[in-house]
Amino acid sequence: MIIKFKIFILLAIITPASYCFGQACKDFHKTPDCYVYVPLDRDFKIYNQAKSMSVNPSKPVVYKVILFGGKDYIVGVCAEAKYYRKIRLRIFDGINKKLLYDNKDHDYIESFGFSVVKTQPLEMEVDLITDEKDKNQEVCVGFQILYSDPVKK
Amino acid sequence: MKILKYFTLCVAVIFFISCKTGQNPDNTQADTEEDSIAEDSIPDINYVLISPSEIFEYIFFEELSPDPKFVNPHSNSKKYITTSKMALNLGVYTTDFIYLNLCQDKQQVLNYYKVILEIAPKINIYSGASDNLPERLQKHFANHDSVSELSKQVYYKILEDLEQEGRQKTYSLIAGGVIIESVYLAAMNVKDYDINKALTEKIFEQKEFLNNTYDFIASNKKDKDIDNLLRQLGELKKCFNEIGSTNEKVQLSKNKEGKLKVEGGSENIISANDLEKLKIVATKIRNEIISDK
Repeated sequence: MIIKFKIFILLAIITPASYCFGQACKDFHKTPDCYVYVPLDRDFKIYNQAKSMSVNPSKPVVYKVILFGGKDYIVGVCAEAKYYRKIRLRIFDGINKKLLYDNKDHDYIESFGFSVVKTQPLEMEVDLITDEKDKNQEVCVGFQILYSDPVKK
Repeated sequence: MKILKYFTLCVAVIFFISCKTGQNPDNTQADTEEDSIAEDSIPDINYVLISPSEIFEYIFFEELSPDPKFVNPHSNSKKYITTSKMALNLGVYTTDFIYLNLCQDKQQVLNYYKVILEIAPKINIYSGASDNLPERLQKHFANHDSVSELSKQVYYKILEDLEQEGRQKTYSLIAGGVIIESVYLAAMNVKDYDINKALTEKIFEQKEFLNNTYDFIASNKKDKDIDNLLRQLGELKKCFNEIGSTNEKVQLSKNKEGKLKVEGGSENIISANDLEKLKIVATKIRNEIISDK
């Protein structure tokens, strides 16, 4: 009887706690930490399923995306402000893995606007640049792509 | 007394688990910068999938009006008994719902939304009816763009919830149903290859989406249903991969106005035969999915 009660108590506490732990980053991309700058005169729409996930800073996260040709895009990345110093975003050609863009060369800016001529598979790698001591943390990271038709001249 | 001891122990365990996310913010003040990146660590791979809205908005451009007759009849929804069939066809019906919105058939759009709301709870998905989505949809029904945006929200909400709940199999089956139905509906709308060359090219550009969806599904735990879906997607992939293509180096360049653009990549060389073959394979696979077998 006592054993059953112990198991019950353990399950009753651990199960919801573990669930909450897994859900900790849910909707993180909707928080003020994840503001993506959009030009006021442009109508940018949500392109993909926004991703909010818990990541370990020692491990980069790669998002495999396909972007349609003939469109303008803004890629936005974010992480919990108190845990990171900078977010590195690198964009690679999805086929040849050639580096196309590195925000290290642009002062680690967290959103990047560009256009795509032909439909393109790309890999977007997000790295949290943080102190060695922080590497065992789990940090919420958000990722979002917006798109728009190009401005007609 | 013993019970109290165990209760305290449990609380301590939970506290320990919870502390994993509650780090000392002061640690972020250290000066280590890019040198701390573990260049050789294996990255977490995330496949970013898009909704049928984006696919159709890209394919059905200009004055082409999609034909509503190709959708899976909503009466079929009663035939699906197994959870895997329901998940696959939830993907199919979500695609049909978005497609019918493009066809401007408002009554059918409503009918198909009802089908989605009927199937989803049977496989424990309640996201389609959350955030007042049915009411908002009814309210903005006359506006094509609003329905398109709301449908995207419904779809992404479903995927997000499934992901958070760790229901990768259901996620995979829905995503598989979406890509197969999207390719099928797009291909069936091309009546004459010579007249609709631009449309055909856009359909074959879905090759990359198909590959991404396939890789995502293949990266998850396999079982009989997933293996079957991978076989079907594999047949479709073969159709796309058999076409000829030219390859140009992909690069990021700046135009005169200083705007950055990604140029290059592959260009497909398509023939009328390729399109006919795609139609045959897509019809066969899609019919397998919408059947009750």
